[in-house]
Amino acid sequence: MPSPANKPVGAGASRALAMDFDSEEIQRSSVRSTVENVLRVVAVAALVLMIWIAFHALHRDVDARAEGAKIRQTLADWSTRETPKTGHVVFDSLPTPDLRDWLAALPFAGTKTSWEGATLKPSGLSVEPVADPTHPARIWVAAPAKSTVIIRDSAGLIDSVVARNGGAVVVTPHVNGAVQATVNGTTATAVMHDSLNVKPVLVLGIASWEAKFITTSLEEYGWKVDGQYGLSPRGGVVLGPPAPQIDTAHYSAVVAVDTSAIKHAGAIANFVKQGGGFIAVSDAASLPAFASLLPGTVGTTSRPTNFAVDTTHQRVALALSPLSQLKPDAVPVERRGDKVAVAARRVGMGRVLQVGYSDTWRWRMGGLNDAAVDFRGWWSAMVASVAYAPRSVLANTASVEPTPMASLVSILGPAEPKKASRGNPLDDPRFLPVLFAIMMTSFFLEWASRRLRGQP
Amino acid sequence: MVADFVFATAMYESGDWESASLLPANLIDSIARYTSLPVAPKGADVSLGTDQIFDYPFVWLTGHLPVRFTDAERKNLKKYVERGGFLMLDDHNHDMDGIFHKTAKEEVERLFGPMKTVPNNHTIYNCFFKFSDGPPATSHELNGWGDNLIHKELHAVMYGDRIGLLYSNKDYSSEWNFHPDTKRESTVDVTRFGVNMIVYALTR
Amino acid sequence: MTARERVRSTQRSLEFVVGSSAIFWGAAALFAGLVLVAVINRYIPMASAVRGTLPVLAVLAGLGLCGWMLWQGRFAWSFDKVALWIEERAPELRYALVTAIDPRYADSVATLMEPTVSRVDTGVFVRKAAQRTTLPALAALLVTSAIFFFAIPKNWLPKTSLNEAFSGLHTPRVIGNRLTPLSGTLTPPAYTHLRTQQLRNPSTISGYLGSQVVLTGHGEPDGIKVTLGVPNMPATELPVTAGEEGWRVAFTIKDTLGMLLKLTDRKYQQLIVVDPRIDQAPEARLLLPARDTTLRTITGSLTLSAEFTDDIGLGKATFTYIIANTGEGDAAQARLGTLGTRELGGTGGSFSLTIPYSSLGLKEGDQLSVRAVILDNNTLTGPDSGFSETRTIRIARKSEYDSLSINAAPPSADTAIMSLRMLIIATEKLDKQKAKLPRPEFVAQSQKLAGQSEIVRQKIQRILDEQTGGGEIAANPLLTTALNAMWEATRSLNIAETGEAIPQMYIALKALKQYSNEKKYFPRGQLKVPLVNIDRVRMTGTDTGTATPRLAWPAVPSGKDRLRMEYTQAISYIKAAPDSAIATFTVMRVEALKPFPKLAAALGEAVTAIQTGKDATMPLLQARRELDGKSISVDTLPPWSGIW
Repeated sequence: MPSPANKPVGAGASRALAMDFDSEEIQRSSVRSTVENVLRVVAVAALVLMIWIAFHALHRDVDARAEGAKIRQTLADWSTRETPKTGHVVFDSLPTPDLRDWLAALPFAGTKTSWEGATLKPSGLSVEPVADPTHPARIWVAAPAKSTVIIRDSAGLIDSVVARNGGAVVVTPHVNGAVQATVNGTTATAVMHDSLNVKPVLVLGIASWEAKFITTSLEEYGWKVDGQYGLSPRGGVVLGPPAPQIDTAHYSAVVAVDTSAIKHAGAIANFVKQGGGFIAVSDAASLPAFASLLPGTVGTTSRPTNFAVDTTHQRVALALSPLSQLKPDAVPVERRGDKVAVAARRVGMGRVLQVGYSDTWRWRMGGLNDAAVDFRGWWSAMVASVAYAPRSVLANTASVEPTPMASLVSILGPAEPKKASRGNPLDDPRFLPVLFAIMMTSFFLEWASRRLRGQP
Repeated sequence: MVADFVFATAMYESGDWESASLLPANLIDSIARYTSLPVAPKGADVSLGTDQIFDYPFVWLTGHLPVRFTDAERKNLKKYVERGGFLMLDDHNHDMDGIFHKTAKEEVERLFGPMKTVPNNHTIYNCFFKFSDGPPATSHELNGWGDNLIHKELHAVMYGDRIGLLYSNKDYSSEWNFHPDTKRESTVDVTRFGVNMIVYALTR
Repeated sequence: MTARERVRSTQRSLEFVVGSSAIFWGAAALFAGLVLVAVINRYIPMASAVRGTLPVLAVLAGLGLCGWMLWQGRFAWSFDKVALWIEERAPELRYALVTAIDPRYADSVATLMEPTVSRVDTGVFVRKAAQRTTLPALAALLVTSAIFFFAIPKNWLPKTSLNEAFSGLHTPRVIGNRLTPLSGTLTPPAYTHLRTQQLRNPSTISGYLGSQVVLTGHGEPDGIKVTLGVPNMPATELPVTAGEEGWRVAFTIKDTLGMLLKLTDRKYQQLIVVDPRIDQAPEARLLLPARDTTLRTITGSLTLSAEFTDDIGLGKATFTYIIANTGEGDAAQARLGTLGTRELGGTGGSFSLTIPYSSLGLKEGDQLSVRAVILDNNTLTGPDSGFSETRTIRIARKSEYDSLSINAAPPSADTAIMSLRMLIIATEKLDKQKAKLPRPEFVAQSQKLAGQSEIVRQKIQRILDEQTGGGEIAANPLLTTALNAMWEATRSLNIAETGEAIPQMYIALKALKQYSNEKKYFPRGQLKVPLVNIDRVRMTGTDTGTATPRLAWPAVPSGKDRLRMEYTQAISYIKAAPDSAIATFTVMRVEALKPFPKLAAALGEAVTAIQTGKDATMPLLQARRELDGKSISVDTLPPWSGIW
């Protein structure tokens, strides 16, 4: 910049001044022009990038993901708008059958699917009739340990159990319609598929309190009972046919109370092998004639005691001949402390129960509270556990889902845990408007600068 | 081994429960004579007011004196009969105006309501020996002792057809209160109805 | 026509015009007023007394306007003023008409004015006047009456007799549910001396037999039906009458069974459970004599003491006795009687008396049995009675002196029982004071009781040692139970845990009482009974018995099968039609009230929960368990399917 001291005088000075001024102008103009060019480049680059992203989006492999409560909506999007190449679903609870089937159908529409569900727990439900004249149902639920199993049917809540080891079993007097078992938020449903035709029970013994009260209690419960109660060599009291045919066409189970049953030992053995049920109690539980059928051998009898107030299990007061030397396939069903009181075994197609208690009738007569009802229920449950009862299939059209987790795996395949990808920034839909803004700003600034310079 | 049948006599606080002391042996003898049931050779005296009573589902109760059960005896009696026990209650006075009958009937009906008449074709009269005319008469009745009546029927607390408590004004306690060996002298064994009672109790 | 005649004629027309205008305007004002009243009544709340006066005001307004209009047109009734009125409208007459009708000039100039007067047509003036006044009035009347009759609903008008007079059409009022709110009274039978209860929207009416129930609601009784009966049986229809403020129905609780009271008002229905309470029998407890005794001699006095309780009111208390003697033969003789009577009253009372034995006429061998008898004051169905235990006092025969224990000391168990009872009372008393006493003092007192507890425990130990013969025979489990329980109680008292000690003491007391009871009988000498030689006599009987077949016993009916079906059905529509489910549960509740009270209670809770929108799961589960029985559950998968 010429200083005022060096300022030329006259036309030359003017020219110099003008020359000096022009060079500054040229310099500024040059810088501005450069800036304009840069802006032009930026704008074009942004445009090119936007076009590239658009093409890229058209051809990229979309890796879609659906989780939790949004699964249904996301599947709807996949089915209508987006059609990703692959879709991964993360379940936080077992899907309903329609959702599961929808997911199974997506591959046929071009979306390969995978799923995972770390929080899902397997469960299973089965409902079966009990061989019992009052037609209760036995409900088996498979569930993880410490899970709470809530069982209900169409008439409401039935029971709840905290499963300890693999599941729980509930025997309930009646079920109405489909049974549901909810385990950790997963609900399985099942129905009873068949009913049982219960036949009479045959009680064999001499006229004694044990024979009398077993017979009476089973009758009171609702069983049809036939019996032979020896009185003298000339004969005894008969309930039902005088010469009972011990086979599965006539009886569901035989209860032998004492040694008088020995004359039927052969028939009973055949009966059991055919599928019949046999219970040996008191003296009959130690008869050698039944040894091949019975689960174990009978030990020394302990003395009976009083039915005291503090006893929760009244059978503790009964005389017990504990069962020992159990056969390998015998199942201890009831214990008193470390002694086996009742044991069971399958023989042929039938089942055998050996009861180590003696004079069980004392519980009915002298037990506390509703002892007569409890005695009745116990004896009936024991008979039901061995009784032969042919099945009839029930027509049942209810839709069921007894093993929801298994069904899920069976239909969708095993779970494939997959981490959610971080995602390419270029895939971020918010990037496009930013590019657009950069492009338009650059163009505008470039145009404004040019115009203000007086350039076209 | 099957537990023996034990003939039990009920002890109650208010009366002379032991007044027919030979009756148990007599009926035990009869059971052994006519059946092959295992039976204990001696009877048991069992307190009606204790839980002991429930170990004996057949019990004989008699006396001459007023019957006034204690609360415990009353409670046990009700439970005993409802659960399937068989109690034979016999008026040793054979007197419907007598104090045993009046008080015993009051006690029973207070617990169970009015007793029913046992029809003479009931199972108890034909379950072993046949008594087509109903309960056999006793010599006391025939000799005009007591109320000078021959009671044609027995009464009972019944559940449907099942007898839980059998009530008699016929004084079988006197009729059967003799040494069993005396039966040798008789042509007809008067204790046979007692056998029916026990067979009925054991099988019905 | 003369001038006078002309004026007379005009006057008559004017009278009509003025009169009709006044009437029309008055009526228009009346209808306008009624319209205004109706609108005010509809939209502006006010006291009913004020509301009732509005139509009257409208009427007065109409009358007032009519009167005023007549006053304004009163000239029409004046002959001279009519003439002036004509002159005013026909100035060309120049008072010729007035002169012509003036009686002063009747004979002179009247006839001269006639030609002038006759040239004026007064009818025109009258017609104009009518157009100006009568026609508008008529129009106003038509408009206001049209508005009143066609635009204003008649129920907008407040109730007055005028309303009925003016309303042409009767518009029915909408009547809502007359069964809500429901109020009433329950008056127990007089003998109970219980107060009348007020009832407000009851879902259950519970009262003693004989209680009078009155239920009232608002509205007319017509169309309301009330029935009372046992469910599924024909019900009795109760008369519904007009009450002070609506309808009224009354009935008496007569039946011991639960009943269903069903109220129906068109589509509305209400079910009420009638739960009859039964007057319980009174209870008597004999305090003295404390135990049975045997006397050697008939001396001294007998003290009798008893206490009585009843849920409503005690009546007469009596001590009764029986004196029996077996005599020397086999039959007993007996005398019965009473030893004093007292009227008690209240729900609790006692009675004591002492009589000398000599007054009873006792002799050797007699057995005196005494007991207390109480009646309640039920005058409706007859008094119920309660009996105490019987105490027996025997008078020993001389021959029995050696074999009887006369007035023996009480057995050891009884002594321990008495000590334990006192200890329990003291411990319970201390336990109640736990919050009030300072801790050190509480601990000190508790430890003192621990010392007494230890004494009782040692007493039981001595009884046990005696019973086992020092360990020779097995210990009686009752004594073992009592001993163990007292050990726990002593330990708890030592650490000042009175709350834990008390239940243990009760366990010990129960076991001791049971043990003591087993010892109570009267061995009247050890009689020798023969031992039967079973083997010798086996099957030696000559009579042969033949066992008859046994018949099958029927199953014990639960009586709940139909209830179970109803329950299942009600559950199936509990969501879709909760009112129907509630009605079904209510009927079930009535049926279950007496035979299955727990089921009835569970159903009652379920109904309340459903009605108040709360969760009914647990009461419904309880009801289901009462109907079906409990389920049996096992928390594992057992290897054997039979579980019990």
